[in-house]
Amino acid sequence: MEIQLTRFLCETRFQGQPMGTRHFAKVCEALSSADQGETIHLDFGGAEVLTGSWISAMLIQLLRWAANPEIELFFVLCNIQDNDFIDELGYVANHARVVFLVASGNASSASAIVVGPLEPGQRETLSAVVKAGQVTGAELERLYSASSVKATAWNNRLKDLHNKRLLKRNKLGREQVYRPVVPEISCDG
Amino acid sequence: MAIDVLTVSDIEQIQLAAQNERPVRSFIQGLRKASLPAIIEYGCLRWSHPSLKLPDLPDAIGNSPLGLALKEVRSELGLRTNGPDGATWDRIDPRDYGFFVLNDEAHLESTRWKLFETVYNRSSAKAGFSEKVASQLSVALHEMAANASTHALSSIPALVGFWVCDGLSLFTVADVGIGVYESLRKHPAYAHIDTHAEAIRFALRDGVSSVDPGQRGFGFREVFKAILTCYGRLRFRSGTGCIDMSGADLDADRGTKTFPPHLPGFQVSVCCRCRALKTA
Repeated sequence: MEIQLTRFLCETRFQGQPMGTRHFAKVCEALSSADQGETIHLDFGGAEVLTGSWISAMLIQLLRWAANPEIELFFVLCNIQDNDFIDELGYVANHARVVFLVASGNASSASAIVVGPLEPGQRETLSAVVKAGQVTGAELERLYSASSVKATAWNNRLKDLHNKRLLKRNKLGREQVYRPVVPEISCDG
Repeated sequence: MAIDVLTVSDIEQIQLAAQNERPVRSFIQGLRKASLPAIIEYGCLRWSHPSLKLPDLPDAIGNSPLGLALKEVRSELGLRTNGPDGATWDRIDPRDYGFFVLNDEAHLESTRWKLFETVYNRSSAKAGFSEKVASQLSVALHEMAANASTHALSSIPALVGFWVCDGLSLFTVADVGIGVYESLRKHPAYAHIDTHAEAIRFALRDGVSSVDPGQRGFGFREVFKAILTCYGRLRFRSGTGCIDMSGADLDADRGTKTFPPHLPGFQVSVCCRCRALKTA
């Protein structure tokens, strides 16, 4: 599913907490028809302004809401041309300890960068999942047997990355199988 | 500064004098001009302290371009409290002065408010600011207005005004609501704050919010971004606290802290110059 924000919200200046709060409600309403586990592309094409207060009132709330197991949605921000917007996303993400997945281009892009803080172990795990395509914690223990990380620790990291909306998962037997939201994900900076 | 110009320092002195029952009327009647922040803070003072019986500003100010622009709006904090709101905001031509009475959050998404912001943006650009800085200034204005409409909890609307002339862009957002101290203290994370000035300093930091600490509170960042590339001054007054900052050092902890007499609400003024003032 793709939402062209400037068209859907009839706005090109995404600024201020009140506007962010209203946009959050409107986007949630539009997502009522989305399927659980679906990836939602939020297209910022045409946006002129993007401020921290809007990001915190709209995007961060959206991520929190989407992490609810009954909702379970994933977001990729796309068509962000302005580097200032990336800087602003990164600044707020660092403060709020969240991450945003930003596509390199439009919704059809197969690659994205993570904007926001990830711990070294989470980076290592994300990189391993991207490389494997889809994987379980037990498989990661086998694949990286030289490291001291056990399946339980891999699973904890995978769960954290799932909560951060970077990995999707589905249950296969007794195990959770994880895969990246987009095929190629790299971490910024 | 000429002595017949009303400044924000004068507002504090007038308040102190009047509260100590010293005469202020002749001083006020002798004024010929006013700065934008001062004329709005005077309105806040008169509204919040009716017992001081402060007089109307003299005609020289009321009939000045600033005064006439302020008379276009009907505001308890302005120069006219009855009659229709005459500021139409149906054109986007640059202008020197503009005022807007902001009723609530919903007002921020009205066409009139958007035109007001656009006019301020264009006026700053015409005054010599780059398009980027002009846009940042209008974003900063929006953030401060949004702040007032969300947190002030005032019984009367906030007043927003701008003044733009060659190389200078200034705006003031004023409310007479609960103020920064009371607003922040609503959240237990800020229960340790014990002065108004300290509350302002905290509020200026990113991620400080009475609603959701760490997750919100990024509005002032836009003000700092706007002023970063030009020469400017910031003034934040609330309760018995006031922080003045120069554009050369945007660390709120190093801003000049003063303790004016109590004025309810929050009054923010942002002044930017695209060229440095010549020094003697």
